[in-house]
Amino acid sequence: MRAALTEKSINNCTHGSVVRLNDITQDHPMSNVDHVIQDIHDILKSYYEVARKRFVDNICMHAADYHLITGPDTPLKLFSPAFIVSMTPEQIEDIAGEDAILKCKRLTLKKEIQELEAGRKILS
Amino acid sequence: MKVEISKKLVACKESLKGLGADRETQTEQTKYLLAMAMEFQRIVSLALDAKYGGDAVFDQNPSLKLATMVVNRNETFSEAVEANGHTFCFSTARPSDGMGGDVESSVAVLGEALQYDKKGSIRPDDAVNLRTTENHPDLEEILYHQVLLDAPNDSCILTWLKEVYKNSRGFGLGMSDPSLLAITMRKQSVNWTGLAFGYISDIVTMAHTFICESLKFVCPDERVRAGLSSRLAESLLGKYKKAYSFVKFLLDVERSGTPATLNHYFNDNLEKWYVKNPNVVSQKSQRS
Repeated sequence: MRAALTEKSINNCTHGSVVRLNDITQDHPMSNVDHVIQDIHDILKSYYEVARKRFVDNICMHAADYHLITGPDTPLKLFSPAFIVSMTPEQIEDIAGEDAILKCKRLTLKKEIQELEAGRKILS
Repeated sequence: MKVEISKKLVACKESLKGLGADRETQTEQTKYLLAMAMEFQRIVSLALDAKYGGDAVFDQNPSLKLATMVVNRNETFSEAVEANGHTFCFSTARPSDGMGGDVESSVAVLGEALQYDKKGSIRPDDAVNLRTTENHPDLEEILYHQVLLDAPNDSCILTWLKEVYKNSRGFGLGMSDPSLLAITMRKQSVNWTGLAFGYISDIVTMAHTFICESLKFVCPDERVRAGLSSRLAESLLGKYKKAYSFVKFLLDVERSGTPATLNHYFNDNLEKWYVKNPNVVSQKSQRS
């Protein structure tokens, strides 16, 4: 309060630091209701500023960052070795087990490799 | 003959390699999945630390640069709430600048305010976009669907406040009812809901896209990946829903709870306001 009134003050007279009366009064007085409305407005404005900044910080830090990104239990941390280890053998077989076609291919290739290596041995 | 056999042998071995690691026994299968999970978490670590040089995949797939995307979106959210979070623009006009006005113009302005209040009166030229990402098909059931928001009304906050005050005052002179702050704050922050849910929808989409893309990278086998995705889906959705619940919680606290703050800036700002307009202060002291 003092700081801003100082802007309007005059300091080089004999009465110390003074402010012109006309600088701090107005000619059109407000009604009681208008005063109250102005009060409400100013309080709301002040509070809204503080609440807005707090709200944005909380949304970003709590809802987003903690729950979704860097917190201890975020979706990003789900697919981990712990998750794999928690699966039953059936579930693991279901997901990672080879399907019949792949199994067949693998068996066939392994057999062929065996035969080819045996053949190479005989020839050398 | 020997050369031919050698050639064939090499080809067979290459093909076998192409089928990926052995997955016959349970141990082999577990090993296979564990390796994938560890690789996945390695990518997550690099992404969260924004160490994009740690793997070429970040250059190939920008949707993996999660930390950067989230930080940018946070900034956009903050700016959006600052610019469009309020229902009515605060007055910078002072009483001597003619707020009093005549009764007719006040009523006209109020009429506009009420019209603005009606649902469905979104003015396209004033609308504000709530989302920066496209919806991911996996997330349809939980994403927030409103896409546009009304921009703040810049003409009649004092008229609106007068109306609220006149409709809810009790006996006693002057000093306003503390619950007025709660009532007006609730109306003034209507847009916060859309902005916050739009924001969290974007973050959820970014996180989910990151998970899907990383999974593609560590697990090229489509069948295995499909199996993993479906095992992960329920838990993932659960976590996304938790984030939404938290947004709702914060909205409830700020908009339906008791307005309160220990932040001294509240008083500092009030003082600054009175100081810039000592006319108001002197009128106050005249009253008391």
